[in-house]
Amino acid sequence: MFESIIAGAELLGRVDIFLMIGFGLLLGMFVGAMPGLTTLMALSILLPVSFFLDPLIGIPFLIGVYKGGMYGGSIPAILLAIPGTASALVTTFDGPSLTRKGHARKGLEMALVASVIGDFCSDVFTLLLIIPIAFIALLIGPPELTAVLILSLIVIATSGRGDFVKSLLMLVVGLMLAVFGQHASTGIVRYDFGWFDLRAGVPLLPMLIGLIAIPEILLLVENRERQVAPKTLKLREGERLNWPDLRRCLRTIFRSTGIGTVIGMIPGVGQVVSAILSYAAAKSASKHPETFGQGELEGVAASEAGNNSVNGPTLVPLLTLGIPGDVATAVLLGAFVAQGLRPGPQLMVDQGPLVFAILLAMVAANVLFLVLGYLTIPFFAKVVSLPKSYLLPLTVVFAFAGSFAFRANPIDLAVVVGFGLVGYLLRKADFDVAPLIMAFVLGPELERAIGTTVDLAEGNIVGYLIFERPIAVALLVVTPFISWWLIDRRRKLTQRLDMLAGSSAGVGRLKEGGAME
Amino acid sequence: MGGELQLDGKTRHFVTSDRLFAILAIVAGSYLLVVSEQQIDKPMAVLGATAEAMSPRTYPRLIAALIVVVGAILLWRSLKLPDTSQWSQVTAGGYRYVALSFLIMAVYSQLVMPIGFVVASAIVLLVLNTLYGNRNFVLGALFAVFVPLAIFNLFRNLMAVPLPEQEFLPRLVFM
Repeated sequence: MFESIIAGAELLGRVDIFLMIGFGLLLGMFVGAMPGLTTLMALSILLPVSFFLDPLIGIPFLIGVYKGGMYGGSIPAILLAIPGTASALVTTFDGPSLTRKGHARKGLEMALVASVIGDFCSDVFTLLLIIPIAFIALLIGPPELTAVLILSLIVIATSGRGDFVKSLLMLVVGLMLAVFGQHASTGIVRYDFGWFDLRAGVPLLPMLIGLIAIPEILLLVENRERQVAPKTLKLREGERLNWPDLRRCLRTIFRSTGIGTVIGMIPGVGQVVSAILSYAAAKSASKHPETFGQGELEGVAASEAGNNSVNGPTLVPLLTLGIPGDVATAVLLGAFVAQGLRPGPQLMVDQGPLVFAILLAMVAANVLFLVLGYLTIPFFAKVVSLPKSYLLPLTVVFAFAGSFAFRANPIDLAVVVGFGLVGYLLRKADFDVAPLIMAFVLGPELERAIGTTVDLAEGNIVGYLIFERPIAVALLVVTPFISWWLIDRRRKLTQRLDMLAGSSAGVGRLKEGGAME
Repeated sequence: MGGELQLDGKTRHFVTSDRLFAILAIVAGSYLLVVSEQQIDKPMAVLGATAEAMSPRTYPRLIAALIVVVGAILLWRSLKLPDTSQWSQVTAGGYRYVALSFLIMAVYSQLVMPIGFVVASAIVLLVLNTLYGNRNFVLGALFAVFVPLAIFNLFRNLMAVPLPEQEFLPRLVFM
């Protein structure tokens, strides 16, 4: 494995890799800074771009978009009290007060520095953690994988926005959609209903774009009359971030990084939860908790370090077990698969240098993140007021171009429109599509694992599992208990958010964001 | 959502999104179970045995059954759950914009092949740009002309992905 790390480092001696990461960071910051546009939308639309690039360029490019988006959401959160991304919700507790006091620039710089430190530390941790977990993952067989997949899917459903049963329904619908088309092992076509185009199954990318990007556009269009930001928004310079300010917040930043790193490794939990827990921990540990919510710089630091430090560790279950931690990593999974790389235990063995090169690029990208973020703060402060009349149509055209580029099949455009309508209706009915997407991505793997387990059991599934695969049984037994604990914890988190925000508006925004970002 | 009923002095809705989706799930799951025999062939058996212990029909039937069960649970819970849908939060005007936008996207998906990506996108950009409030028609027209050209050439030259071309106009590819 260590030889793979060194070989991976040697692969990184190329300028184009870092140019594309920088481009991805800027795009992500741009999307994150626009209220209503989501990082997920950007990832799904830009995913086909990565298909035609070298994996060492395409995948870090998408990771750059992801990182940039997480930070970009803090810009309107601080300037306008509108989170650009769901994960920046908690930043609105203190950011706008800083702006009112004339310290907008300081707040934005703290958000940037906290994001970079959180991201960098968690990326290094990810790099170190992946090695032992990859070794453990190699010992996992089909029964254990089945149990882990079932547990992951249930955890994802419990973390979804809204009611658990509704998320569970989305999950099983996603599993069913993954069944359509050709069965991987036997080649038998299932549920094509006489349509030739359905024989290859439901295409992932157009479905993603339809379920994620199109509803976001339609939801923004609903409120067409409302001007989200004033036509001109000047960033009053005010004070800049200085070393004493940063030093005072360092403990909070590192604490939040620790929280985010742990949460990042758990599938389905996400940046919003990390930001809330980090903020709550910072407030509890502070000698002046009464200043939180009144423009406390530590509040911004806690939230941003907490949400950005989730980014790296979400790759741990993805790369070692092939289980995406959230929808964004599900999109990254699509990028890996399109490049012929199947994440899972075997990937680290077969393509070790490439995987470590991608991870090392991710660590190095944080330096670019800091420099680009610092230089572009004034620019992105203006971006928040770009007219939607230009941005939304541009997004539509890009979405369609990307969908067509996937496999040059015009039917994919109809898939985008169809799933766009479904996605919009589900959003309006308060169903979270994240479990649907995750189940769609993991469904084939789950069926394969179950099938192989049944083969190995040779007709005696119960005896085989109990006497030869006790770990799988243990995982299956604890799944309902873990689910119950997560549902209860989510309910308590919502109450805590209420308490922190002091208003029901915060709770509504949490319910909007859920596990989507 | 709809169908108000006065009961015990309170207004209750008996048609809610949750109930509709729950019923849809039960119907769809049941349908997929019923047609599974017809829609999924049996695997080839050699000397009475198939290559795999789990038939390609087993897993889909299990999932379809789960859809029915979860749908039923949701239907039962919907009697107690508050209606958290967001239908009433938008004005009729807002829904008109949504419907128009969706219609334009649907038409766009069908126009791309016959008239090419550039022309179809130019039309859609102009229409949506105006619909979403732009009144600077010169800037809007420039936006509608140059953006599709830029995207077309970006995809073709940078990513070697040909987007559908228009046949009745000169080739608009810039190498």
